[in-house]
Amino acid sequence: MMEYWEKNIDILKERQPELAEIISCAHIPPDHQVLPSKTAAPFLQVGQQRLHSTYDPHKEGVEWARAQDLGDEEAVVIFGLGLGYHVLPFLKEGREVWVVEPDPAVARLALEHQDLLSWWTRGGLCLGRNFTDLPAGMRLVPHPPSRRLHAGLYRRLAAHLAGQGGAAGFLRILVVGPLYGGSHPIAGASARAFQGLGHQAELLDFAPFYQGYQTLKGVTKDKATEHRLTQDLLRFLGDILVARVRDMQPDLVFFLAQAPVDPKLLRTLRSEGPLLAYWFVEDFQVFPYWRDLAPEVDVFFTLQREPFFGELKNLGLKNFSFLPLASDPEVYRPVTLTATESRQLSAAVSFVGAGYQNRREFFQGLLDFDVKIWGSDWNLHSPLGPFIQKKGARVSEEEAVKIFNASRINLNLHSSPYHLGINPEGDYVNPRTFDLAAAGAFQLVDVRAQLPEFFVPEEEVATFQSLAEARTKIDHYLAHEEERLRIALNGRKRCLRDHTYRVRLGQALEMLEDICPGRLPQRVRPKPPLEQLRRQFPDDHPVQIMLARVPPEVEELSQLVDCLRKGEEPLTETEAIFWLLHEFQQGLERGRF
Amino acid sequence: MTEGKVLVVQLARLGDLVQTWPLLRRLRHQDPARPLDLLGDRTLAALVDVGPDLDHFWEVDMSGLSSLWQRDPAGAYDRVQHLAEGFRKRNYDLVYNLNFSRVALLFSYLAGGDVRGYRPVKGGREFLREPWLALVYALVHARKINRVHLSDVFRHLAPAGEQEPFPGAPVAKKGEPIIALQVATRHPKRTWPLKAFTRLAGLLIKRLGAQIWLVGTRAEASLGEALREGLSPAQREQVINLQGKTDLGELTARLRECHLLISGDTGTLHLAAALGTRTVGIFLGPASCFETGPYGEGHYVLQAEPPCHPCTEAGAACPEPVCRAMIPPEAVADLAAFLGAGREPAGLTPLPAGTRLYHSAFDPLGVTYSPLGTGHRFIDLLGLAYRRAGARLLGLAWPTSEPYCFALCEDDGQNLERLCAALKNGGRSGISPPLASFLTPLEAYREELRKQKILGRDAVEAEACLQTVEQGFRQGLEEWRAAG
Repeated sequence: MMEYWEKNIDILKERQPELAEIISCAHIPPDHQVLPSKTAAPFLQVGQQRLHSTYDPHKEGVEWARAQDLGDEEAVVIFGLGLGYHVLPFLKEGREVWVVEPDPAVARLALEHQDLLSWWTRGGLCLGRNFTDLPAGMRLVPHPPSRRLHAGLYRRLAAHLAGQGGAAGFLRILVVGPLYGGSHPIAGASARAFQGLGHQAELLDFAPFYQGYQTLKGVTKDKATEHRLTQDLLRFLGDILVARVRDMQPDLVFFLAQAPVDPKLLRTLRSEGPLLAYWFVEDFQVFPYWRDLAPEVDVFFTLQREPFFGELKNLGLKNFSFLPLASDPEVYRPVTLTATESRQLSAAVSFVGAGYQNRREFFQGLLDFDVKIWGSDWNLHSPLGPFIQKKGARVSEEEAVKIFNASRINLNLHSSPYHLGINPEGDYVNPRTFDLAAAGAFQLVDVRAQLPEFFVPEEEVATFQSLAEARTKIDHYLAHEEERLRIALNGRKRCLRDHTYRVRLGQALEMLEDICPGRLPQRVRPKPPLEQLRRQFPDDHPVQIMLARVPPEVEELSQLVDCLRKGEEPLTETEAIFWLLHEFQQGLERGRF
Repeated sequence: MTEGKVLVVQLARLGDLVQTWPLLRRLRHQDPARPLDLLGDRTLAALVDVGPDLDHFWEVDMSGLSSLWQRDPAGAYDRVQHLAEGFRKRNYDLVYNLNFSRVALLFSYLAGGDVRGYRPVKGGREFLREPWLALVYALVHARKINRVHLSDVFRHLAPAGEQEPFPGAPVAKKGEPIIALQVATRHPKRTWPLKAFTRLAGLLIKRLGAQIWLVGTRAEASLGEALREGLSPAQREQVINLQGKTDLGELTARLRECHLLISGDTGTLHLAAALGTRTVGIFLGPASCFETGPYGEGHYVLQAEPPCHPCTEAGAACPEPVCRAMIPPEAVADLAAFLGAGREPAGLTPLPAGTRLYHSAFDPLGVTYSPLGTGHRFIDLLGLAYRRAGARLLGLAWPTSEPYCFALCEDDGQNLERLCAALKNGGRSGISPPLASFLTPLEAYREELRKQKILGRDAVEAEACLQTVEQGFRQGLEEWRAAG
């Protein structure tokens, strides 16, 4: 059925070129399956959810369309594309049809298996969350299986079309990070991303307690005592967390892996009211502590699908969802280096990261290149010794960004405690993959099952599956600078579009809505005070003229008064009255005028 | 002489309004036909008829306006705009802004006209104190030696000219003595202990056969009740608690009727004095009778003056409020007895060291408080020198011989020498810090005038004012030094 693809994508390239590009790059995850129905027409199954009849999807689609009972000329917005069986009948009527499909993979499959676009003369396709251009007032019909998969997004679309769009659900979010480790920067990036999405987000950073935690290790030789002291510290940190939650009253507490929590603490927090989400950014096989924690949270985000999903199901859980990593483009970005930095940092091939065994082995096969290795836990007395920079001292994020920018080729070999060299079963994609892309740095990364979902191999990142292939590609890309730079640029563009923390966590919040519908408040974002004030005066009031002259970044009344204070011209009557009234308010708070 | 209209802006409390009356009286005296308006707090409207004649009272609902701005900004705006429009129609020539507040400044700005007192400059954005006000501001940097009363501060904002007659001394009243007690003040630091008031009440009833009226607001009624509880049943019969039961009009009537009011530094005290009722002030903590004593002749103040007096109202509670125990109820009762009998107080119960009994009178500048039973101290001398300098700034004639009785010691003489020398040399080097601190007002005045030049004060004028004050101060000191 792939013959439809060429036809569909050609038409789409003309009508909605950006969409065409996204769909062309879309990777089909393994849980999206196209299977033959009893009538041989294919049906789609995403995870456990069948999107069409397994008997006769065509007939089902026609009957469903008829049942919607639309008026003759009525335009329609359909939520969920599926394989298009239910959309086609409307298209064949020549009706104006808009389809909102959250999942690019589904869109891809639809274009592969259905002759859709040649019928689609009026309206268009909206992918992901991009429905805000749709005007309010159009009739909305949900494709029920699609709606079940994306309940939260559907609700938002319905609200938007009902004219209640805009700032839905202003949330208070507490992000809880670990004492140290890889997920610490992710915690910080998450808090920033939530803020960037317009929520009131805060990071509870336990890093200051790491020193204390380390100190405990050397206090006593008695293991039992050391354990008790450590538990006491962790309990204390738990108390701190509870205190913050009680004070802040967040809607959502967002944990990162290795946050100092245990099941008991999670149960306590859950009873305080907030939704609990845990982002398990680990390999589930290497760190099994998910068994205790996953059942105690409302949503458990993972970097891996099967067999992890199977394991979680075995625990009786349904609260899990796939949430891959991302990057923070404000941290990982192209930077210009000084001459000194360039001299110190640049190399033909660089690696920044910890010296896991598989890396120690693998890199020995690259030492004839101009290689620099950065990071901790490397053996300075091994053959890699001369290539290890800063005597194996830890590298800060800022330094890493500079190194990424300074290197012609950045090697990204995923760690493995079990394999030497490349892990052939590696599924998830590490943070470095996204960080390198965001920084606009050229990367050569080992093949991972999920990688094509995020970056088009050889177009946005370069890949390797063996030492030999790595060597060949290093030679090639060192010799072809233009190609190298082009790939790096593509990688950055892709990352900025699809793989920033802001995008990722926006998706997370929607998954949250799907898994726990209605649990997050639909709180309207409080409007800035000046904005509120504008609404309380008639349009032609002299105050509006004054407010219109105010720079847009001024949102608070006190800022406005500052503007008045700095002015040169004599205060107008309006300005004087306004300032006077503001002072009244201040005086009331101060207790004297 | 009738020129344009005059507006006085006084948006503060009861006591501040009453202490503004001498200014109003002066303005009326200087030009009886000139329209005189007042902008004040709505809650004090009832007092308008009690004070000097006004042509119009603009009332501002100070507390209501704040909450209205929250609920209904357009409505609040309208109210103020209505006032502004009213001011414009009145077309004021002259505005006296008596309040150090942004609100008053902006009202004065909206009123238009020439503003005296806290003048709006820089298009209405900044204050400029006029030289007299700036001097008082400088004096307040060293409150221990500030001898200028608030009413006189206001009064002398009016142009120099014919002196209006000062109010006469309170007239003795006949019949069974009715003594009103205002037991609460607005701040704990200036409040005489209730136990002391209770004991006083008992003594007044016992020794004078007085009827006691307790005055104050409803919020203070619990204090009144506690006082009554502290008396014997027989004595309780003689006490009427009027707290919370009088509006301003009734309070005025009661204060007129009573023979004596005994109170801390409160609005009630000022009102009683203004109504011609004799008062006894009980001043402690941050209260200083020189600044806010009962205005008029023939009033008395018992003031506790430990080394820390006067203190600041703001900040944490005092860890050691010694002043609270420094004014014995027996002395107050003695004083009341003398006054009741129409006699000058003499041979009172001995006062603790640091407590003084003051008697109010007038000098060319305004009200003064002279200690009874003891002479002026070194700090009084300094205060008077500054007062004299202020008079000079205002162009007031000063009597050549002075009725002061000084009680100075040898150390004081030496300090005086040192100060005079320092002034001649133009600085505070060479004198000890405590002594040098007495020159702070001069420095503060210089600094204030310097800042004002940025705001538009004419440099020549500023220099002239500074010279006048410095010379006046020096001259005063020199004369006393010469007199030995």
